This record gives sequence, structure tokens and C-alpha cells, in this order.
Amino acid sequence: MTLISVTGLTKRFELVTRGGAKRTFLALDNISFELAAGEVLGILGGNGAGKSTLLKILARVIRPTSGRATLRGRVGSLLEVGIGFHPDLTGRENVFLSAAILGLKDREIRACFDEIVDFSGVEAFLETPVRVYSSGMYMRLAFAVAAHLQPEILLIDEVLAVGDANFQKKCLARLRKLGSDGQGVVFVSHNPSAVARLCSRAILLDHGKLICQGPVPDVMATYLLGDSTHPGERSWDSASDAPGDAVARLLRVRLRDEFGQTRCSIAVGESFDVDMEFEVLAEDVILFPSVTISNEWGTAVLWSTDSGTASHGRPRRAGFYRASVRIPRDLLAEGTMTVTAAMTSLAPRQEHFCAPDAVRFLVTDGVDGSTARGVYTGYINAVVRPKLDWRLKYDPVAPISSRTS
Amino acid sequence: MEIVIDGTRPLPLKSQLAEYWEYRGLLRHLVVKELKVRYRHTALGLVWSLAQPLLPALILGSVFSRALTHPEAARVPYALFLLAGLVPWSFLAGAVSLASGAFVSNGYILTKVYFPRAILPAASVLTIAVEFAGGCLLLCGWAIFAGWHVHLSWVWLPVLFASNALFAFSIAIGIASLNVLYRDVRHALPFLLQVWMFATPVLYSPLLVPARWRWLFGLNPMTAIVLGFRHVLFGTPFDLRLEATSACAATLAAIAGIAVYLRLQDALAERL
Repeated sequence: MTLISVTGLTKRFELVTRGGAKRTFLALDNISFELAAGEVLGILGGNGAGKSTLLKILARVIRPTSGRATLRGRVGSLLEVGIGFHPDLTGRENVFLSAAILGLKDREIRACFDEIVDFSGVEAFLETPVRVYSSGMYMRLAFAVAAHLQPEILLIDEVLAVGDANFQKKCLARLRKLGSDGQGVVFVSHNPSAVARLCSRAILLDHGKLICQGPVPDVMATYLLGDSTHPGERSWDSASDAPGDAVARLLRVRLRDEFGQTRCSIAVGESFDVDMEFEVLAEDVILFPSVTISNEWGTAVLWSTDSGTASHGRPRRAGFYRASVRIPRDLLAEGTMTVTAAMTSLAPRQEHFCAPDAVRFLVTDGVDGSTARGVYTGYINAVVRPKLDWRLKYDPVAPISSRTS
Repeated sequence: MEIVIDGTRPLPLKSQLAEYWEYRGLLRHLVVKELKVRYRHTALGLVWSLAQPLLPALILGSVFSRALTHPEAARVPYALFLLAGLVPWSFLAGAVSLASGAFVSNGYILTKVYFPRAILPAASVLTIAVEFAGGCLLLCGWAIFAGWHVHLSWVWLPVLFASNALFAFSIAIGIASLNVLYRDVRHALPFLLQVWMFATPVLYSPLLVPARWRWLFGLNPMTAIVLGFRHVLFGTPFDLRLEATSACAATLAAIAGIAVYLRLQDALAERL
């Protein structure tokens, strides 16, 4: 079932410039998309792309200039946590007020009141004005209210930007559950990896225009890699452009999955090949092709050179070569990666070509539990993420040093 | 449940009204919140709401004695005569002042979540109405104490009170919407209300004004309600023509207020 269908949505804002003249500004330009039941749709785009405007129109906070959006089902909008909270009211009073503003009826609030209090963990302070709450308690109570809205369509913006890691984890888990329960979620976030982990589909906005929509990895790739760089594949046609010298020249670098398709986005659990095509122009030089993969912080994650093929350590004949290196699955962490292709010879060490940033690609991770991340949804601060072998043994006879009575 | 957001066609009025009914619970919560916030940490609580019409009535009543009443109405103690005017007037002035800022002061909610917008000024008006229900009881109590008998015609008092509330709400939603566009409204409003009060027979009897100018009171929407209160309570002379023209003026002003709100409601969140 389609929960949201949007056709030709356009929003024009009128701005008054310094001279007092009016100027119109197209915040959304003819946007069309759909949201199916059970889908978590991510909205990606830079600042000013129109993401928030789109969400506000769907939340009915502002009206479109033209176009149509049909929403089938109750809409819950979480454009901010703690909406309607008043510092002088107690926790209990605020739960009821905030829930009423978010569209819940008293009967519904009473039905899940205990659950809300449990979720927030502020039971002891329920009759205390929220102005004396710590910011953490305030946030937990506010989110607990929001999390217990049970709309068919949930619109979320930036909610995840607040709170500590534990709190964010709770939010993400709650979101995933909504998606799997057959509700629809539209999710705007400035955190692209959160979108990658949670969403099944995404749309990309840029200056009010819908650039692309589809499966998250593809849209993410377009968003993060942009048009100006070289996702997946890059070749040099003319000899004058190509990196190289009188000995060797780079022709093409390509990322290839196991089916031979060029890819600019790879899941953590997939292996892939980096192909490097080059021309050898001078004989009798011992050449070492190498590949470096760096992450978005510029850290070289791995370096590898041809050390095992038959031609290793021997001079090559002139002509065309293709070197391929297989990058195993479950090794790279998620993020934007760049590939540097280089050719060196030793004694003396000489670099014949080096193409930094030859291609870029995106590594994405899911939360289905099949990768090293398991079902943890938060940020992992590590450069590589190999899936390692863990063993756990229970020893029933070993003495226990401390015991709680 | 299906909601269609169409850029070129606003929500049909019927669906809008249905939404207000859906959100009646929110209205109650907002009124309760407003009352709690206003009177939390006060020792006297709602008793303060009686001070608003009562204290000016006592002060003005002791200063001016009966100078401003017509001999015809002189059998009513001037302070009581004043209170009968000040109760409906203070209700209107209080409700309009509070409600006129309802959109601006709740801007952070209006820009984040949808609910029928007029709920906010409606909550302000109802908050003041709760306070002034006490003022009405005070007025009736004083009238009985001063020797008037409870009469069948007193059933008109709740009707007048409701009309007063409805009129206050209708113009307040228009003023509150305008206030979002032009924040001058908030600054100008206290002066306008003051001028309006002197133009309304609150402190004086319209009989003091020469008969050939008296029709001017008919242009004032509040005349009907203030004179209505006095007529029902004290049997002061009833001028049907004045009452009718004033009621018409009130209806027109109410329609204008609602029209302004309906015209601006969709743009409110963008201007906040």
C-alpha cells in the first residue's frame, strides 16, 4: 500500500531583499515520489536543498505553492523533541500536554502512559516541574512521548542530533521497529551513515530539485561522490592526460563486483576487485603496481602491491596489462573511500605514475546482523572492520571472586 | 484516514471544522496549562482574577460617586453600576490582549507541528472566560446583596457571557493573525482598547449623551453586551434599536476577524 504519494510539489518563498524589492525563491521544484508501507525513506541533500521544507509540507506546517501530496493514515511529525513542554509544569502534566499537541487523544495517552514513563526512566521525578530536570532527563521524557506516537506515517527531522550515544541508539532502534511494523517513515538527517543504516530507500534533493531516488547505496553514492569526481571508474583517453612517464602509463582504474559490474558503492559484506589497466612502454624495468585505499579522513586504510603473480620481480614486455586485486569482504569500514593507483620500480626507487583519488566509492553497512557491526546501530570508531572469530566458553567450576547477594 | 495537501486548494471548511472537533482535547489541555502556569506559586490563585473588574470598580466608584450616571439609573450604586460594565469589558480586553499574542508566543510550536491554528487563541479566550465566570458570580452576588431579586430574565446572563466570549474569540483570531504579519499590532493594541473602553458605556450611562448623538453607540459592538448586562440585572432602559445595530456591528466585526484568520492561517508558520 502506498502511504504517501507526492506529485509535482512546489514551494516558492517570497524574500524581501535589502532594497525592499521582492524576490522569489524556489525551495522545492516539482518534487514527486512515493512512500510504501513498511518503508523507511531517507531524504538526503546539503544545506538549503529543501529537505526541511519538504518535511514541513508533509507535516502540514506550511502549505505548498502548487502540487499535491496525499497522506493515507495518521501522521506523526517529530520535527523537534519536547514540543510544547513548559518548564513550570510537572513531568506528568507535560507528558499529557505534549502528547495532545502531537495529536494523541487522552484515552490513547492514558493507555501508554506507564510505558512512556518506563521508557524515560524519570518515574521518581514525575511530579516535579521539568525545569529542575537535568537536560538528559528532560530529553528522555520528551523522546519517550514522541516514541509512543503510533502513527501510520512518521516524519522525523534531526531528532537524532540530540542526546547521548545510548539515547541515539534507542531512537534508531525505535525507528527500525516502525519500519518493520509496516508503518512508513520519512527521515531527514544530516548524518548520512544513519540514513544508510536505517533507510531502505532514499531521495536526493539539491537546490529544491529531486536529483535521484532509489536504493540507499545508489543515492548515497550520488550524494557523497557527486558528479565532479569519478565514482566507480575512470579512464584516461589521451596519452598527454594520463598519469605516467616513459616507462609506464595508467589507462584505466575500475571497481568491479564479482559479477563483473562496475560499482561505486559496495556493501561491507561484499568482496570486490580493483582493476588497474596500464601500458608498459619500456622493457627491462621491474615494475610494482600498487593500490592504496584511503577513507574520508585521508587515512590510508590499506596498501597492497602485486607480490604474488608470475611476473613478480621480473621485467615485463612492453604492451597492455590489466592488474586486478581482490579486496575481501568484511574488511573495510563504512564511509567514502578513495583509491590511489601507483606504479613504482626499485633500485633506485622510482615512481612512474601515481594517481591519487583515481576513483571514489562508498562502503555501506546494514544492521541485519550479518556484518561485524552486529545489530549495533551507532557510530564505530575504527578504520577497518574485519569480521573476526569470537569464542566464548563458560567455566562452571572456576571460583567467582565477587558475588552480589 | 486520508489527508490531501493541495497547493492550489485549501482544506474545505467542513474538514477544517471536523479537525477542530478532533482536537478538542488539546484545547482543554491548553486551557488547563494556561491556568496552572498563571497561578502556580501564587498564594491567592484564581482570587486574583476577581481583582481585575472589582478593584477598578471600587476605586472609580469611590472617586466619581454618581457623577457619571444618569439620574434614571441613579438607584443603582455607582460601584455596582461600574462592575456590571467592567465585567464584560475586562473579559473582552483581557481575552483580546492574551489571545492577540497567541500565535507569536507559540511560534516554536506552530513551526514544528500541525494542529488547527485557532486552537491557540481559543485557549486564551477560554482561560480568561474561566477567570471571568468568577467575576460574573461576584456581580450577581453583589446585585442580590444590594437588594435586587433573582429574576427569570437572569437566564440571559449566560447568553450574554457566551456572546461576549464568541465575539472576543472572533476578533482575537483576526488580531492574532495580523500580529504575526505586523508586530505593531501588539504595541498599538493597549491604546486602541483604552480608546474603545471610553467609547463604550462602561463608566457612564448612554443617557448622558444627547439623544441625537446616541445612535453612535450602535456602531460599537460592545454596547449591546454592556447595556444588555445592565438591563438584565438592574432593569435600566432598553433601547431596542441601539441593541440591534450594535449586535449587527458585533456580527460584522466577528465575521471580519474570522475572515482575516481564514485568509492568513496557512501563511502563519512561514512568518514566524
